[in-house]
Amino acid sequence: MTPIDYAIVVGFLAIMAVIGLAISRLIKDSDDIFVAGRELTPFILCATITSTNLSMYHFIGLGGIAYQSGASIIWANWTGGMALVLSACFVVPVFRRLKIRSVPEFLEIRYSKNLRTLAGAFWGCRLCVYLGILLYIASTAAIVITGCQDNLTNYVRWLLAFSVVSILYSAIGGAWAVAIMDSVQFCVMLAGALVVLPIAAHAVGGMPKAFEFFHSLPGDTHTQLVPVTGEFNWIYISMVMLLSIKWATVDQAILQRAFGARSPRVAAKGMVLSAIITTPIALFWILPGLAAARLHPGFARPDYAMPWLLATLLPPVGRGILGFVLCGLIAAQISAVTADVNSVATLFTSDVYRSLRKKELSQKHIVRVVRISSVACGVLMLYVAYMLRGFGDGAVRANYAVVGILDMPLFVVTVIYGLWWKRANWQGATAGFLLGGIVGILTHFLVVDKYFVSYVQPLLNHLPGGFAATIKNFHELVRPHEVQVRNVVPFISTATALIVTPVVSLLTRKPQNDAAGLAQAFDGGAEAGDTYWVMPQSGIGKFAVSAVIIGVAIFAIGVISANWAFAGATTLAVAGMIAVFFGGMVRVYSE
Amino acid sequence: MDWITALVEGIGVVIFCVWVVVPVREFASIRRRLREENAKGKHDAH
Repeated sequence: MTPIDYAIVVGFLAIMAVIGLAISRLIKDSDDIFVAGRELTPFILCATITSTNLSMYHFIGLGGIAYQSGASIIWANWTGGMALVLSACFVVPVFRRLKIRSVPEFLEIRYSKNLRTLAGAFWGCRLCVYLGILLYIASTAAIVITGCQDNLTNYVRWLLAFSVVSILYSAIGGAWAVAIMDSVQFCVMLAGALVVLPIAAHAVGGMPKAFEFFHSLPGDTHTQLVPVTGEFNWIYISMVMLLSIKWATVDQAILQRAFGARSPRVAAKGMVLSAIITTPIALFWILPGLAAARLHPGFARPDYAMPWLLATLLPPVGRGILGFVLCGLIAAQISAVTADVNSVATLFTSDVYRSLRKKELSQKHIVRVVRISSVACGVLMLYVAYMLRGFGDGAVRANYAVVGILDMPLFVVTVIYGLWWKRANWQGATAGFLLGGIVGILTHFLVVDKYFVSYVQPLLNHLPGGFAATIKNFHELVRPHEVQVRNVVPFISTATALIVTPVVSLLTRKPQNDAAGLAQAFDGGAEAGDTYWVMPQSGIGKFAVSAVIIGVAIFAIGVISANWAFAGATTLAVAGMIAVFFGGMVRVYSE
Repeated sequence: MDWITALVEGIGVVIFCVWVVVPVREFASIRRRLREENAKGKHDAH
């Protein structure tokens, strides 16, 4: 990396800091800092949701998986797009009409204050760890891209480069700064991506040539979108669809952007637009990942593939190109970090601090607490990222697995029973949330050989002989299928929460709180001069919702049919996805 | 440039251009409305 590249990066960070701080003038009350005064419009919302969703992990991590295993990892983004449309049609307009600021706030409306505090604290901690992981991945990749020495000093320098500016302006400017800066960073990120793809494609003699090469290799799955075998096969795609629905309906960082929309319809529009534009954008890291697989196969760590590609191909093209692309990657990272820091501050202030304080707080006091908690979150994420350097990638993978398992029960109690089943009470929701997580984690430890040997086997000596033998036999039975079974663990935590919540609810008293406000939220009350019914009233609205549902069904049939090596599996899955997007667009722009 | 890269780049450029222009206009509109509301609020207070 040349001095010009460094100058471009430093200049970019300085400009981001100045603009971010200038936005702090917009902050007048806590609604401005939590949900940008609920003034956001569709295209701004789309940019901020997309920027929050995409981070450097997508370019480096998912590009690396495409390098190693093939293009099917693109479903991690494409299922996310479908899930955003489903959330825009059925969930987010209800939340937005309730004028909540966080998902745990909905849990108080629906269940109890204690569950709100529990979920708020859980999500706050989970996001801090996630932010630490994002910083770890970004700083590790930056060292490889820039070619600087891999030591602690350089690692800490990159950690600070990725975090200080984002902590600063999210603490001072709140959700307004996040929204405006995300729109800017979305364009910078996209500009960087636009530079990389043609250079990578040119290096392999054009993408069709690369595809021909992969087709010529017997049994290669690099170009298969719905493969029958491998880690990222049809079972993985089914699991990631489930996790995506969870992400689009309960993820605080994404939903908080949607809560800042001017009206429920604008929230839905922003989400559908984000879903549609993310679909082609995903190709900007999948295709370079495949190009890297053609150019330099054999990296032991797939995370090194994309940094190698950038460091090798960009400098010969022109001076400053690497710095420009690095700005795009930093923009992706900063936009994800700021949104999450803002969300942690909201969760801590709105759901934990406010719940624990008895008296009403002034607006000035709330804004001060948000700013202090933003800085505290920043310090915590830096500490997690610093510690992760010692633990390495194993800790990152374990966290992703655990988070996938623990989040699903929250989705079940919030969306499935919270919105759609009146009889669910706080006892059932709390039991479903906790038991779903515990059963999921236990299953994961029983299935994954590494964890079984390290953690479960030592405990078996203290258990009765027959029980210990049963556990060992179960592990031996599933061990040969570890990769496949590991993919279905989130289904197990979901199923547990799905069963436990209604059973405990029916065994305990009916919910005492009046859910009349929730029932009204499903109606199309006018807001900002716009009416939006969750249940469509017109013919075209019903047609659009039908297209979304049929699209999901076609997608599911396509993915599952891959199990029998059906030749049209990919076509069906992609056609289903297009139907979902079409239905979503008609839904939010009609009626 | 091959047809796959050209197609993806073309879509990317269109998205880039739309998201450079439209959000700027939307921010200007929000700013104008907030100013009008502030002015109206001050007027009502008087």
